[in-house]
Amino acid sequence: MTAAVEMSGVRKAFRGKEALRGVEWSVPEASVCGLIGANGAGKTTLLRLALGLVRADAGSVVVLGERLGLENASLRERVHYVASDRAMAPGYRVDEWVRYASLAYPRWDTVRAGRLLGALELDLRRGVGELSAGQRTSLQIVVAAASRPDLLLLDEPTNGLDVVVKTQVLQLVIDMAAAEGTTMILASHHIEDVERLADRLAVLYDGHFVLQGDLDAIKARMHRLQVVIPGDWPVELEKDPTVVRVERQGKVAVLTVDGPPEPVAELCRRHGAVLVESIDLDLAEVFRIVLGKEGYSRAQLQWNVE
Amino acid sequence: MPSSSGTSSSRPGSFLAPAARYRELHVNRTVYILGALVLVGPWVAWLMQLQAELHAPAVLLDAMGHGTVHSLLASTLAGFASGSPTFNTFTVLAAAAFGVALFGYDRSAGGLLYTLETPLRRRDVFAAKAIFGGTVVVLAIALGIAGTLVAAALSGNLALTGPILLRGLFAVTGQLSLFATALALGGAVGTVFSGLAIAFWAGLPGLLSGLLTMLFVPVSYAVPTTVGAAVASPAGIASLAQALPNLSPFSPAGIGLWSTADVLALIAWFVAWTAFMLWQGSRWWQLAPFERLGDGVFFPFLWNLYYAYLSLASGLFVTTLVTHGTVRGPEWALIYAAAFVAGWFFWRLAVTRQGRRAAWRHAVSART
Amino acid sequence: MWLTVDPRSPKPVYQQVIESVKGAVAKGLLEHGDRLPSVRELAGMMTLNHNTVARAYQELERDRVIEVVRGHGTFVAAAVRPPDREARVQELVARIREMIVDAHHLQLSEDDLLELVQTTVRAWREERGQPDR
Repeated sequence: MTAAVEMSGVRKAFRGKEALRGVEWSVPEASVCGLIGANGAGKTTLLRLALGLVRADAGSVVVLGERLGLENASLRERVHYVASDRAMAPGYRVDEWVRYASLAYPRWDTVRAGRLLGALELDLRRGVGELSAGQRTSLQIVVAAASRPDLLLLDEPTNGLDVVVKTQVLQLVIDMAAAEGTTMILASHHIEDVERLADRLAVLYDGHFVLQGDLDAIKARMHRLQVVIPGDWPVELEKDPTVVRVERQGKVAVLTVDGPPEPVAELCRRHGAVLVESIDLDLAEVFRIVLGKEGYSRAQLQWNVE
Repeated sequence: MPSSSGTSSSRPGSFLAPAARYRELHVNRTVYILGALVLVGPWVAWLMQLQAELHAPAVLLDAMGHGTVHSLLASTLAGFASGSPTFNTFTVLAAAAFGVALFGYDRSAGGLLYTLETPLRRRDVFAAKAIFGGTVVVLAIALGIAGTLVAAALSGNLALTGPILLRGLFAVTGQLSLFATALALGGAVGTVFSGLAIAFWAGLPGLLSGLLTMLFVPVSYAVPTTVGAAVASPAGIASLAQALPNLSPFSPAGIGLWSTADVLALIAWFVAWTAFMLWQGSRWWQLAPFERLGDGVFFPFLWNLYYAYLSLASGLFVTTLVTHGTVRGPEWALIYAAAFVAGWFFWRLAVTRQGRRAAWRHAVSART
Repeated sequence: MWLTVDPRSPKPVYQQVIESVKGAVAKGLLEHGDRLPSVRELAGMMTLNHNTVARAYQELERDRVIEVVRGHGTFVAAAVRPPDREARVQELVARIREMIVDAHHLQLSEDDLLELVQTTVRAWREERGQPDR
């Protein structure tokens, strides 16, 4: 399986401050990779690196088999970037912007563009600056879809969108991935969106990836057990290497296990547990635990989870 | 199979990518129209003068000492051809402003990002501006020259065709070199400062000569050199524009035409300068790192030059204010040095304060 | 909608899809011969990753719950006794044991539990529109 994006040893500093330090990243072709990180963690910088817009201070960036150099204009014929929350193409009307895109992208699909513009009800004669946030994002997606990229970079695409538009946008994105095998990188702090759409996950913290892999594998890694043990609390339980956290309130304890839960569950029963049940452990909590093991304190990890 | 109506933006063999052409003309259409009007303006005034002369009544002719329209125009046109100022403040600033204004959009919030995110090569962005802008410059002057030639023909002065054309060539190449410089700096240094940088570059020789005169020529009052004139007027800094006409011939805005050989040499110099500036300008624009493109200047140390430039001017003003022209020589130099240094820090403070308030960096997204 | 997926749940999404489909078939909401949406359609409808849906469909096909007919679509397969039925029944027994333990914790006796099961089965039949036997 070839990688759509391959970064190795990438470092980038802005005005003296290091934003990325030693990033190792591999995004398989035709996958949907969720890129998670707090605001200011460096997600946009990573995406701009993948777009060839920004040059890394050190390390190598290979996108779609091409090693990135200085200009990378031809790479952007196959890599498209979409972001919400920003001023867009000032001075253009919708039809003018579409015309420009049709000239700039060699794979432009006019039929698709027309169909999507109609489906999303975008008024061709309106100035791009007059569009609502949702319409701007929709327009970007239309242009992205019609340009038939091999790699689509989505930077918080659903920020500021109402539920209806958000669903439309995500459906378009999914359709692109499903129908054409477009590789997607979705940078978001909406963990739920990532959990729906991604098959791979990469968590960015402190300028590098603290966690990277298949989404299901990451989710399956951690488990939480609620156990009720009458009598004295068996401290040997806490000594088990896979038990990372224990929270106790009287007879009821919640154990967080990094690994398969059955051995620990069995251990609990042997110590006389009358109830052993697994409870939900959401992804954000998984991150905090993993990062906690890496040495980051809980206080540092308060990012917006929606 | 998708039906593609697009053409590759970097197809080998295409002179200028259609995307770049469309974009440039769309995004800067106002600049091109206004620029054309401004650049052709002085020529229109000139042609109107010729028109008036062509229809001068006999009374006026006698008063001016010319018997016929032919003779009047012969004199006017000869004067034109021999070089009454091609470059005054207005034309210098017009060409410079035009070149700089062409980068206005590509430095604005959103404009820049959207330009570069698409598969458009930076060199094509620059090339489009150079080609279209250059064409406007050339056409404005060509129109003026054409009109002049018509006036010459109408007044039976076709003998002056050669000198008029030469003068036209001089004007074209000179303006182009100014435009090219402005474009190069607009793409490298930053919108706000390019125009001033032009003036700085164009005014430096005059400034230096004035300064040296001030130091070593023994006069007892504020000398009527350009520098003296600048200093004596109330708006000290603004009137530095008066320094511009007194430029060294080795600046592209130079005047002072002597023999045809001189003119031809200058034309050659202008052409070389234009080519050099376009080449360098394109290079700077291509090399500038993306995250810096929203800044006023790319290379932070250039800010220091800017402060120096401002305090060069303000220093003069302050010095004259303090000394009232009663001091000269080494004492003057000392006071000026103090004013210059103080000015440098003052301008640095003022500009950084201003920079923090204004969002220079909004061209590049605040999100990391 | 017969398909419910909670992406926040620690259970893998593809697993949830599989269980949803099996549950719907068991309840009779989907019957033999009913056409299922294609991978692409389902992914779009539910805004789910298409690879995830594809994986679920693959397993469902392997378990002979659904079958793909080339050129026509994906359909619910005829109910067939799964080959590893014995193991599956054993799993069911284990789950029943767990239920007994849970009931104890809730101060319910085994008889209370049996009654609870009967009530639930009755309700289930009502949902399916079957007469009470």
